[in-house]
Amino acid sequence: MTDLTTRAQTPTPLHARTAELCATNSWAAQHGFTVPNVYSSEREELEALASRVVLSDLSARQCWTFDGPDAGIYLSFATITDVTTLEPGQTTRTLWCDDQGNARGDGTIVRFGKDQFELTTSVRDFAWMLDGTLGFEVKVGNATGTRAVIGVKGRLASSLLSVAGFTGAPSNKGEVVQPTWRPAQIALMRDATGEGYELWTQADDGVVVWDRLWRSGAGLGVSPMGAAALEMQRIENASPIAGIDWWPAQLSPDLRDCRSPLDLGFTPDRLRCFNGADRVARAVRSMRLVQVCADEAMILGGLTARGAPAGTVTSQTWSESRSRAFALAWIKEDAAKPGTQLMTSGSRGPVRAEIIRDAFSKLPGLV
Amino acid sequence: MRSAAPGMDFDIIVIGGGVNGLVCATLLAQAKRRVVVLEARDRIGGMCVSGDISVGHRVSTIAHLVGPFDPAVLKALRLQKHGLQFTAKKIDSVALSPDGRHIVLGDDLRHTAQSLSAHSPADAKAWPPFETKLRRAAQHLHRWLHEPPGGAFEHSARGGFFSGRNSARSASGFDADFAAALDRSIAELLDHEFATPLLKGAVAFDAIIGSALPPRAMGTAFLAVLRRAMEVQNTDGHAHPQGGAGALIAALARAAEAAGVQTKINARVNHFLFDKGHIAGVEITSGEAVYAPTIVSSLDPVTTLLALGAERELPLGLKRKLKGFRHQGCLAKVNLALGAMPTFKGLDKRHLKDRLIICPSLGHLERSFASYEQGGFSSDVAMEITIPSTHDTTLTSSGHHVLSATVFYLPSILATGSWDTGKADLVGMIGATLRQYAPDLPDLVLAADVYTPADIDVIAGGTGGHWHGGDLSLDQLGPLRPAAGLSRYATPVAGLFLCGAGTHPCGGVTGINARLGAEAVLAHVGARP
Repeated sequence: MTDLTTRAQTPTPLHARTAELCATNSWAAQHGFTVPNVYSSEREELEALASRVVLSDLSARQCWTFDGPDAGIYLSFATITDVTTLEPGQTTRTLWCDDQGNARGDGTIVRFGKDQFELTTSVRDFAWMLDGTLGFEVKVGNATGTRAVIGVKGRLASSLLSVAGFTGAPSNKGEVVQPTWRPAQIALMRDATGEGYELWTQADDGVVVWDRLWRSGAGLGVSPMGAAALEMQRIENASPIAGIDWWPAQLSPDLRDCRSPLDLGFTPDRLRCFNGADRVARAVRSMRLVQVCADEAMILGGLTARGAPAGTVTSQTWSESRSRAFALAWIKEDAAKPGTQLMTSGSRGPVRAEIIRDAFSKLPGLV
Repeated sequence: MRSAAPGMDFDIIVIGGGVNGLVCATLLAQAKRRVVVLEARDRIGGMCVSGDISVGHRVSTIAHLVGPFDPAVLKALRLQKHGLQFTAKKIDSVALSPDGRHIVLGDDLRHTAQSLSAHSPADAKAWPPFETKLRRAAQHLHRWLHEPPGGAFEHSARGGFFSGRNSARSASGFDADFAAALDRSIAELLDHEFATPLLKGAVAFDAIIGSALPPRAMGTAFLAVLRRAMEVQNTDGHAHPQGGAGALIAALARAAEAAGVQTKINARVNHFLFDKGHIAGVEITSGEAVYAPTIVSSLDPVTTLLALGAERELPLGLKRKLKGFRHQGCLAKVNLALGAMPTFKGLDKRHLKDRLIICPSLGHLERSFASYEQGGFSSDVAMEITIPSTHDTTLTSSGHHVLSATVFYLPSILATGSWDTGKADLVGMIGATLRQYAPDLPDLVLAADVYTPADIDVIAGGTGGHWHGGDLSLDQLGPLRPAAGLSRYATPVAGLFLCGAGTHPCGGVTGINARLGAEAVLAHVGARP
């Protein structure tokens, strides 16, 4: 096997294993890391997902730790969610805003202990979170790159976990358990879509856990799934991603591209005090991110409703299994009802599309 | 519930007993509020104090010139009635030349042109129109300085300073091309017009003194206008109070007392006290609590908002911006007691009362800045000198004099060595510099006091020890001073206001910050009928 280590710009902790399996040598840059784009073919990977079980390398994400007596209070001020109400082992999807009430990033917060939280996100905004801690008794650490995260998905996902010896898998969406499992300490989370699991472990233990799953899954027909197939899944699941489907305020090229939590489908508690709360309270939802589908593949670009411009497609894919094209698109609030007929462009001319649902309606897990 | 000790409950607490603190407190007390001033040190005054270098040699310890003081404050506080007297007003500046061909930079353009003709007849001709343009721009800026930023004036389509840039030529004959040049550097502006190094050095020095900016920094040309705008409609200009800067504080203290302000010394604020997110008072070093629903801080904005417990109440972005507020002091003060009047080569006696500037060229400033950036100082430091004993007889006796020098571009912390030993080097170097202009001066020195930026820090009661409360650069002026969202004196912390030098318009002994701060407080809490 060719040693691909030197080809990856920033390998993830699972690189030693994923590189061996990446027969196509097709790689993707994801949130600052290099991960396999396609292991064998997207079609084979998606078939394995539909009929058996797949492993994927989800380590390419930002991970920040919050420790200290004020960790909960600080996170509840820095983000729009009151995390002090979480029980240890619970997770929540959240969003954080700048002083003007524009969203800077979204992610998942896990409470591991009374004073211990972790925030995982695709947005690189560590300095913001760190600078904000002045005055709070909380230590913020950047654990990015020190966690190996393995996604286990598919019909046989829970079978694989029990074969591999991970008993007591969480049953609720977003729930986290820390089972005792030798030789590595892991955290096991049921992902937010409820369709699969994420196994979190320290970077050094990543390969051990991967090997265990891989060997245990041989009889179940386990396969790896690359970034391309995950991306198709993401769009089919209507799970938007910061930087692709919406602009974090600090990166947005134009003020008009900034989004309030309301635009992104979050309705924060208006009585609670969090960063940007006064502006969010005054914000009016003007755009809605929705999932649209069409019979032909769509391309990124404008959408019209009854001849008038109505929005923009931000990401699109073709679903082989359902023989339909899916896309995420920003649509003006007044035109964003499910069932609304829209016109957009495909590679061979105009395409008729239809709104299916709100993009955030399913509280998607991280991709 | 809180339990207030008798006499510890007020309407308003003003933190800091310097010029801005006292002016603000007096104006608020005049609006029938019960006001207390809390001063950390054992005496009020902040940067405006007089002290003895040695017995019989009294001098303004830090700030040595007053003004241009806000006429509205002078009038409202009736400072003359409270004993404020100036022994010199409208003090001109003189750029000293080692060969005696000094350049007088004053109100009278012809006078300057005349002294400049010894250097360059072309420059002598170019000076009056150049200075006139600066002054005209200053006229436009004047109103802006006396109003809170972001007001109607900034947005007015006609006559507003910033509107001048949009129209080719505004109705009042304002030179829009010239205004457009003001976001350039002062060095560029001067290089374009003049050849005389001494003139360029002195004008640039005047623009940037106090800010840690080199003469080629963008936006420093604007500072030359800002300086002139302070003097518009001000009959006193830069002035020297009889008895030094401390005399101004004495008059302010009497005005404050007359208005009913209480003053507590040795009352350093440990932290704020809050009641459900609203400010409720402060705890001082003695452990006592002083209660008031409104607090106005004349400390620097960074100390006020990030060091006294308000930081938990601040938006994250604002906290970040404040952390980036540049307010590192770069000035030192050197006070010399002299056994007799030194003889400056070629300097007319009537100019001894003026500000004497030692800054021979732009290159001099640049070299000095380069050393400063490396954490040291070179023989190229620039200086502003006054010899107040020439007109104020209360300072010295029997033919003795005091020389007060503000020395520019000195770091708070020396990169190599410490200020304990660095002070002697600095005095020696200043002596050597002064010898070039007044050969007998170093031999007349009886005693010397040196205040490094770190010493000034302690006296100012905050961090930074900055002459202006923060660098005067385009990103820290007007609506951006000290940070966007904080420029109108109110803070996001309910009940907490700013009135120090780190607010609009700038530092200096002017009282404008305090007046605008007091107006903002009264607009929020309302005056008592």
